[in-house]
Amino acid sequence: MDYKKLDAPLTLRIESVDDRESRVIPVIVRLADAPSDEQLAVLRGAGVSTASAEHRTVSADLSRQDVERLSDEPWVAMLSLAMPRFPMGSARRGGLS
Amino acid sequence: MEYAKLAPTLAAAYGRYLADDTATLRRQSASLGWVSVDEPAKPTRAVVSLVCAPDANLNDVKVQGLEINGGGDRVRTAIVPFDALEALSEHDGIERIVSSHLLRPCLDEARSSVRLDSFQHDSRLTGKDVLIGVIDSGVDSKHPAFQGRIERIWDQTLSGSGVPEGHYGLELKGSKLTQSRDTDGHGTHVSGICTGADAAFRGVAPEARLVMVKTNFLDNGITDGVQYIFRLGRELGLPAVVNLSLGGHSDSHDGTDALSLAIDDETGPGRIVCCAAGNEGSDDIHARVDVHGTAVRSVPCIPSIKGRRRDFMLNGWYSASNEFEVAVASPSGRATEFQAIRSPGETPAVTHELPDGLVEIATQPSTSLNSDRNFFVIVHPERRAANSPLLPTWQLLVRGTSGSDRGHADVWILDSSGDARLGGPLTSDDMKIGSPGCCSSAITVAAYASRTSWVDIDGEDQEATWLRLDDIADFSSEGPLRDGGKKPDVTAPGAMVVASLSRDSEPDRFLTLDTEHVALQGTSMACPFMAGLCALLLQRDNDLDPVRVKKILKTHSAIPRNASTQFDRKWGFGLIDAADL
Repeated sequence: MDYKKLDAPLTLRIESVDDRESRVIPVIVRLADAPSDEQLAVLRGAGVSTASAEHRTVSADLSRQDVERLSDEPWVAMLSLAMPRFPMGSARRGGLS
Repeated sequence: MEYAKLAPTLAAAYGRYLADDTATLRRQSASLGWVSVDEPAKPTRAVVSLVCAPDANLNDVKVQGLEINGGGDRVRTAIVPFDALEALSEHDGIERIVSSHLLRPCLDEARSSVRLDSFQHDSRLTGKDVLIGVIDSGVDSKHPAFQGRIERIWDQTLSGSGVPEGHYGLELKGSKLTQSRDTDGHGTHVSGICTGADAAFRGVAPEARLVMVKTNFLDNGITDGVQYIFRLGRELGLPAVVNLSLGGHSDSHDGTDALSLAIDDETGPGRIVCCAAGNEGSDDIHARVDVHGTAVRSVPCIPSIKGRRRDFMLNGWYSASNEFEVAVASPSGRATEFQAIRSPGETPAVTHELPDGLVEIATQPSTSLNSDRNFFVIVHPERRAANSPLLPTWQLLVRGTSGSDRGHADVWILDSSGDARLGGPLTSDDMKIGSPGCCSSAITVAAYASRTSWVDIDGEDQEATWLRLDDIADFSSEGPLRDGGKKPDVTAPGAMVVASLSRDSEPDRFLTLDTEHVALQGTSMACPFMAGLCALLLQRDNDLDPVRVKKILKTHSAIPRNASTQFDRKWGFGLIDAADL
């Protein structure tokens, strides 16, 4: 595992997953460049089924094993845990209630 | 009478009219637009909007006292005697009859404060042939404001095979749009501001086409949604604007997070993204911790100002020229060991057990995207710790590894409710714009108070006493970014803004103006105002890219009552003036 390519929330999350093969971790994968056909095959094999030649950023639910495998690829720049975002209207946060 | 064509307030009023309940009609007359209630010589009438079928011919409607104005095609305003409602409701060319009332002044304030009416009157721009994509809580596809203009809904929360960008959720169009519902109401309101087209509230780009991504609000769903909308725009041959009225603080606050970079990849000529700056302008969520060698600096962390036990997180970033160690002290005074940056190959994540709860700390080496170091802490307070009458205050402890290790760390506190706060003298009222607001190519929008009073559905006068009229909203989050980047970009009306109400939502009654409109505040509301403006600019020039759009917007923005044209961390480059765009 190349921990330099994992963001901190993802390192915490993978430590909490017991089953190495369960694809339960929502991850965003940042690639160094648009992927080649060979790289697309690796991505799809690692569970990134939506990978395409057009996008340098792809997302998928990955296993700890997938994360480990992709972090060791030189053409993978970064792996981030998908974190929640929140609406910025008064019905939810910082508003009237 | 086809009651289904009458808006509920109008149907109820018609019932009162038949029952001769003039007392109630009189009480409602000012706010709901009933005319001549007490004048025996004149029929009681209603000021209404008629939502018509395309190219409907209403010339054959001959009723005494009926006045239909010729201004619109799809939506026409009218004054209708109550006795004529039955004939109108049964006319094939009329799809819906909606009462008009005090919404118009609410809207006028937002539009007039940035001289939008003047711009649209002169330019005739309406957003026609531009796609506006909203990634939010969904949209009420039955709302009259969007009739016939919703291209697709990708509902990421429904079961299905998804779309090419994400094999989850369900893509809907045509008659199936109604399978997706907006029970929160946020997305419907946002959509109404940028592209609503009803007579009571005219959105900024009322002829734009709308695509809604009802999102799971996770980074991956949002990223997939942005890619989906721009692909749809390419397939339809339309320029596109994406509205992101959402945000968070789990990122590096410099635009190098994966979501921001994905947006940078996707934007370009004819492809614009607008983001809300955030609503934490009054909240202590950021601290700058100056570190002087091995001296320990501490930052109080209050998990919830409402006293509830809740997990919270601390997200810290600092230069790779430093090697800080971090620890966490619990309310009882026990502390974890200081955790340094871990050796290569060793997991940066360590779990620490304290009597008051569990603490997980990750101390990352420099990350590959911005070369800075990051520590991330998750605290799970024990439930029994919440029994204390005092707010359970935790402490983040930071120190350098040697006497010469000097620098600073920027720290944000976050939780699922938005209630967690930092305390003490190190808190700092800046750098509160997280991802995707910090995205370099996005247009990041602060909120301005253009309206502070309204009349609610019960006819009660309401006032937003927490706002200063014609000024920046205190809640609007401040920049700049952690690397000094200038955000927000510009300011638009964001309080109180009246727009579409999802009929599947249940907003506070005092915010509800009628069954179709609600008043809300937030940079969530300012953002779609700007997205609508961008749609107008793209209608005029399909190839505008983010750099050129920003240049136009900044050139036409200024801080009211301030001669300076310099960047301001609250206003950005100021309130947009649309008149001469």
